[in-house]
Amino acid sequence: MRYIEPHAHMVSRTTDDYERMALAGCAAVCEPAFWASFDRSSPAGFFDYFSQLTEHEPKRAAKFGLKHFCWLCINSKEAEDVKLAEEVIALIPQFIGRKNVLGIGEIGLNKNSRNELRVLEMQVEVAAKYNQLILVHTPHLEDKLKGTRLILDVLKNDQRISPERVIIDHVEEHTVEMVLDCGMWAGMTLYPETKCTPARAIDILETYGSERIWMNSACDWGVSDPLAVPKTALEMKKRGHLAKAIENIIFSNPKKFLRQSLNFKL
Amino acid sequence: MLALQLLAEESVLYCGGKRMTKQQILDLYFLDARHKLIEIAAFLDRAERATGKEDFRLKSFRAALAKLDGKKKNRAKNVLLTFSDPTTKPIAKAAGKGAVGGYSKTK
Repeated sequence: MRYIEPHAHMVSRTTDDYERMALAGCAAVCEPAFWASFDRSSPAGFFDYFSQLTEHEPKRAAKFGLKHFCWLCINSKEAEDVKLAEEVIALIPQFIGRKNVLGIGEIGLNKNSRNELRVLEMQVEVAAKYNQLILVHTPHLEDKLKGTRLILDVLKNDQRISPERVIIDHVEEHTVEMVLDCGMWAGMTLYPETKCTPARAIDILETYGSERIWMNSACDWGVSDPLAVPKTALEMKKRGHLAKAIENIIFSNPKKFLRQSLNFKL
Repeated sequence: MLALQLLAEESVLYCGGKRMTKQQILDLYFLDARHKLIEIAAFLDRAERATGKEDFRLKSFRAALAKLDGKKKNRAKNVLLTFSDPTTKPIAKAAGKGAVGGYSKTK
């Protein structure tokens, strides 16, 4: 089976993971900018990170025949310091023209604070100005419902943003419907402990359909599984989903969304 | 129009176009669900045996358990809603970065 991993933080993973993903049928991996599990002390740290995402990580992926794409932003966990965020956001335009950049992401909210919201709006402005796709991180656990509502309000109120060019990630049963109702794409993250299990992700597909939905592993430095997408495909097979329907979810759907960026070429 | 409907249906085809039967679902998931239910029961027993005061997390956990009762539908969604912050205004400042899984003012 072939699949696209539309959300993986490969800078946190080993080379062995690239090999395992390639063996499992991965055709491309897409890496949003995110929190490194510690706060970076200066914009220079982000300059280096954006260089890593646009120059070095594609080379590491290419050794295993994998295409590597990325998204740029300052994440919501480092957004409480608005001055730092402004300086980091000012760095982004010089990287947007690089050939593996898909858009702005993963922007969003974490604890749903005013400063996080302000930084989200600043980055939506960059996406609008440079006509970029948007990938949104929704908050964790008890903060997800409120954060998803606040994020959708920001995006719906900006007439420059086309909903079909936005993916709202980490949806669960209580947020997926409101995202799809807005005309945006929904991402289901497959985690062993939080977010969706493979069984629940398939429940959501069977309940809400498979249009404008993708699945991702969001593998990073925490408890996560870089093979979560192919494992969920196997679970779909066990549940009797046809091969065409499985390929639709793990390959055709992410391709359909991502090719809205001229840089996404397989 | 018919073609569009067929395409939409095709996108969610499973079991040759039919939903799995209750028997098939039980065969696939019953033991796993039974295991998780016993883990929950043991967790509640463990928390009850422990010393000291409980906090809002256990309260929200019990409120969520009530959503499993009877013939109610959308149980997963309702459990998640029980654990969620229902307020709508942004907070003044993020005190930290983490989430704990339950809403501190669960009624």
